[in-house]
Amino acid sequence: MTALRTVVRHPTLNLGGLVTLLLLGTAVVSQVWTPASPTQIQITQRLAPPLQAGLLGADHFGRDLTSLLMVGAWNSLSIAFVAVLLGMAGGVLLGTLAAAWRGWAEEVVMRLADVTFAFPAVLSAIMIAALIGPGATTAVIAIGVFNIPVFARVSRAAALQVWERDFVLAARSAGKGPVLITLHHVLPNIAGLLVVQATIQLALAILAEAGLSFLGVGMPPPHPSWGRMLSDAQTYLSQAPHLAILPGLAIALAVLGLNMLGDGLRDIIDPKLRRKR
Amino acid sequence: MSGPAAMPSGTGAPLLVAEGLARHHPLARPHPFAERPVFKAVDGVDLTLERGEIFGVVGESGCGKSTLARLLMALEPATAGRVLFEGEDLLSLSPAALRRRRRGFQMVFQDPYGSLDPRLSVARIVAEPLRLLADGAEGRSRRDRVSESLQAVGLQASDARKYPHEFSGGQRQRIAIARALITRPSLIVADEPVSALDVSVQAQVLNLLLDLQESHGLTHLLISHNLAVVEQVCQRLAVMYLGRFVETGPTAELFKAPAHPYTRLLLEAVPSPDPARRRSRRPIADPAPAPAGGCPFQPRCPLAVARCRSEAPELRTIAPGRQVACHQV
Amino acid sequence: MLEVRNLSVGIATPSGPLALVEEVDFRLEAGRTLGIVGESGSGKSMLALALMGLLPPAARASGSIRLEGDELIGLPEAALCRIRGKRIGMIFQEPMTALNPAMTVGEQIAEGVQWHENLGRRAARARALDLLQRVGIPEAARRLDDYPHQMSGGQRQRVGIAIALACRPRLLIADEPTTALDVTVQAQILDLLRELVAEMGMGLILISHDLGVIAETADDTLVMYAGMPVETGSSAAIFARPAHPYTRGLFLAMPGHAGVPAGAGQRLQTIPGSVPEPGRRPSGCRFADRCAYVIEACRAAVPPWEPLPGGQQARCIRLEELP
Repeated sequence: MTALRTVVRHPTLNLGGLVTLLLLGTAVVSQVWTPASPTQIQITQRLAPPLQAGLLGADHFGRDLTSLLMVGAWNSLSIAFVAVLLGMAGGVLLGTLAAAWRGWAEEVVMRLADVTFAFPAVLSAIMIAALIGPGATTAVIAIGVFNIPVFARVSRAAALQVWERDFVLAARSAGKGPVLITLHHVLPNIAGLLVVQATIQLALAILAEAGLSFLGVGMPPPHPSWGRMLSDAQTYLSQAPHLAILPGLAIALAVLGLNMLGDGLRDIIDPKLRRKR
Repeated sequence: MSGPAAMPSGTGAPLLVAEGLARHHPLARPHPFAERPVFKAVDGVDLTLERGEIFGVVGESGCGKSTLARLLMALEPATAGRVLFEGEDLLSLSPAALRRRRRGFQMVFQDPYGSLDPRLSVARIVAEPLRLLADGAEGRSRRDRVSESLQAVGLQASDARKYPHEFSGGQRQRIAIARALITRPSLIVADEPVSALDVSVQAQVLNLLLDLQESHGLTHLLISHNLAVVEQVCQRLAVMYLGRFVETGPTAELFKAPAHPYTRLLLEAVPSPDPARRRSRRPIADPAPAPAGGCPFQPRCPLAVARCRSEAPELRTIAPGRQVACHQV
Repeated sequence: MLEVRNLSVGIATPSGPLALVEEVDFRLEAGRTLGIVGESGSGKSMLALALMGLLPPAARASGSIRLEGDELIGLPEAALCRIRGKRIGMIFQEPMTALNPAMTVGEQIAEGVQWHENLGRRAARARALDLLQRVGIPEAARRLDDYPHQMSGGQRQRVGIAIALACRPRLLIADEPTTALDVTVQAQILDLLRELVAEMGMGLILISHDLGVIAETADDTLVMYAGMPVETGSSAAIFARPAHPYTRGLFLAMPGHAGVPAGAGQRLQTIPGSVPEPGRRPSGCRFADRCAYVIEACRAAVPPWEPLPGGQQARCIRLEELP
């Protein structure tokens, strides 16, 4: 009841949640309906400004910009989502493992995380692209790998705190080993923190996906992508500025919304954690 | 209490015997070529728990009493020594065998907020040690045992569905005791079980421990910094200072005639809840780290002589059941 | 010197105002110590914050707090700042968190003096050295430039006391000053506080949950229960003849108290239930739900103060009928 009230009264959380929901809605709708086909080329409408062709105009091939942005939302979000999921799965596994088996295993995991962290994501993406060619898989792997150390660190730090608590000691005297303790006690107690981190990482992943598409290692044409739309728009910046502004705005809105959602969630989850401590 | 309870006579084998128990933590070297210094949290403790008694360990923070509890519970590896529970050395058991033995001894912790996982229901918390039982206790019998355990500590069977945050500190400590009871252990080690509780609630929990000793024939090891609490419930007592026992004996005798200077210092320092008995105290020396050799208490000891600086005193018997580690006694 | 009348502290909540502390009255003379004792949930910490003018933003104090004739309630923050530290010294529970880890103890003691008395650096440092010696830190001149982490818990609390004393305040408020310390160190700190009060003629308010600490240190005692004082009087009288059923219950629940059957294995008397949270307190006598002597009239209204011999008072309508 009180938790619900806090959620309702939290403006950052509300706004962030609304923007994120809108984004998600758009992405989902794009899979069943778009105003026009995002691949249909209508050369007569080339570079049409907003409201002259469709709601938001058309690009340099005369494709409907509204539809492109909508499908772009789906592509960006799905790549970011899968990448963060991958990073979270790997990172949480490594992080909680490191916390459960202190000592050399922890050292190895954390130093590996440092190395990955020190390696620029864009560079690794280009390398992966060189190996397996550009595409969604490349983007997912590049962004996902970059997320592993982030989650490894966050979950290790949080897990170590849980391991210090007496209920873990009680669980050990109840005969539970590290795996069961991690499953029964550590994960449920760090889940809130991980959700917050995942939201923030999702924002970063959308940004990263846009960057990779911009560089041409993301989703290949004809799949629309916000990053490549920006990249394509460069050439026509003076003739059709909306071609750059609109995808840019979409990226900014998505990142802002997710960040606000993450901040709001953290505000709600943190005091609770503090009270329980 | 008087007679046989106060002075455990040799009826049956002792429940638990610790011999030369030690736990040393290596510290960082002060410089690369120095010998690695060692922190001796527990430094050679011998302890015998007779069946059915409540044995107290008192000492100030940092004396190693919590580490001792974890060593006895085989929750921490020992640097040296043995822990014989019903004659079996816990520290040499395989992990699987140790797990089977754990049903015989359970622990209650100080902080009733930190010792219960806030995300689990009371039923799951209390049932956690049931995995130690061979039959596993599933379904109906599991529920029955949880209710039985909750009722034994004065809670309702219906409390099993609730979560820890719905309970007060004293009730949480009851839940923790219910968890410790569920495997029907013969030994409960309670590490400062009442120090986080208010006076009136503390009394309820102490009475519960006494009741359980009587009704379930439980043996308790009670660890506390509070001398009044220990005096109230323990038949025998050990005073711990910097990793060692400095004095042991029946509680009443130890309080009546403390032998070790540190025991006397402790007893004098306890504020008396009786303004009429307010007395002027001798100045007390600040706590000091253990010196490299000699008696660990020697830097604070008003009686220290040259021998105390060179030679560490061993525990020796001064009266039946009473031991003191001091050259000057 | 300090006169508190009808002090109440309330906090605004979404479901209306909630009283945390109600109807506190007491007087404190210079050179005397008042002990305020209560369990958690008694409102004693909130009372301490109200006296220091350090209430959280959502909380409001009403009533009157007069320090040497000056009313403190309703004073703007700037004026309170001039009084806090200068005329009221404060000692906190946790000496480690109350000290700034990045400043030497000498700087922290001198800071208040420089600020409140416009003393120069050199003079302030001399005063700091003086105080450090006074609170019993050995080799004070050398320890002046130490940082808090280089000191033990007891020494840090001594530094905390030196800071509180820096401007020679008239009133000292100590909220659980020894709760975080070991018994041997606690005894030293209590001895020091007693000496200082006798020597400097301050008034000391000592807040604690520990009856032993109060009995050892306080001349007068105020017993709080569920946000309200239930008994007050000289410590000697209260500890010898507790009148209020709550005070009696509290004493009998405490191992080591004179009335408690001593000896291993003796059961303690208990008070059933636990302290009600604010908002769940009964409307009449706050102790009614847990009291063995409760009658209908107890629940009707908050009991008035009933005088007892020797200035002792208790808020209980059945004092004369109690066994």
